[in-house]
Amino acid sequence: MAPAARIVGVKPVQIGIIGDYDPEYAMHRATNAALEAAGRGLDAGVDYEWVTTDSIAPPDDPRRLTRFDGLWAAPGGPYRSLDGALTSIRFARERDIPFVGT
Amino acid sequence: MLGLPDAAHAEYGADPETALITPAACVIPDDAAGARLTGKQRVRLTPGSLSARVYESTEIAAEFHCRNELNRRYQVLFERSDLRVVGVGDEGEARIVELAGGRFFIATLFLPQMAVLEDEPIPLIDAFVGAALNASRAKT
Repeated sequence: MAPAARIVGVKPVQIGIIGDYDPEYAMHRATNAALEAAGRGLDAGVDYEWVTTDSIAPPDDPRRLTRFDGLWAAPGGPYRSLDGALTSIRFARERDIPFVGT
Repeated sequence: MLGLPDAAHAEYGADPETALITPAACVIPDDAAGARLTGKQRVRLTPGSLSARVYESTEIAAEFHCRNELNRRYQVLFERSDLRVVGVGDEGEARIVELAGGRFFIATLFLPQMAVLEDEPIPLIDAFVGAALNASRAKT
C-alpha cells in the first residue's frame, strides 16, 4: 500500500502507534488505513510501526521512541500496560513529538 | 499534569465515581470485532483552537465509539492546566482535548480513523502526519 508517488531520496515519515495491535479490531485496521490515506493525500511516504504498551513500561527505556516523528496512542483498552501507554504519552509531550490519541 | 493525586481509569479497577476516566453515560454501539458503527455525535469545537483550525470548522460529526469518558467532576481541572477541553458533545461532555501552546498534541474521545472505511477525509490524521513530516524535516 505504498503511496503511488514519492519524492526520490526523501525518507518516509516514521509514525509509532502505541497500542496492542489486534487484526480482529476494525478500529486498529482503520488506524493503519488512515495513516496510509494521509500519506497518499500528502504525497509522502509513511512508515508506521505498532509499539506494544508492555514494551515501553518501566524499566524499558522510552527513548527508543525518539526514532519516531509522530506518536499515535491507539484505541482499544484495556492496554496490556497502562503504564507503558502513559509513559509514551508523557514522552511525546516532553519531547514535543507530534501526538494524537484517539 | 492536573494535580490529581490518584488519577485513575475505571477500566483498570478504579471506583467509577472518583476515577478520572469513567464509563460513558451515552449508549455505545456494539464494538465486537468490526461491527458496523451506528450514529455520529455532534462535537462543537472552540474557535481558534488547534482542533478547530485542523477541521476548518467549529462543528464536526464524530464517530463516538468509546466505552469511557472523562469524569465531568474533573473537567474543571483542565481549565487550570495547559490541557484544554476544545471539543464538547451536546451535553458539554469532553470529546477533544489539546495542549495549549501551539504544539501538535490532540486527544479525542472518538475514533476519527473510522471515517477511512467510508472513504471520507480525516483532517485530524492528515494534520498529524503533516506535523510529523515537518518534525522529520526539522531533524535533518
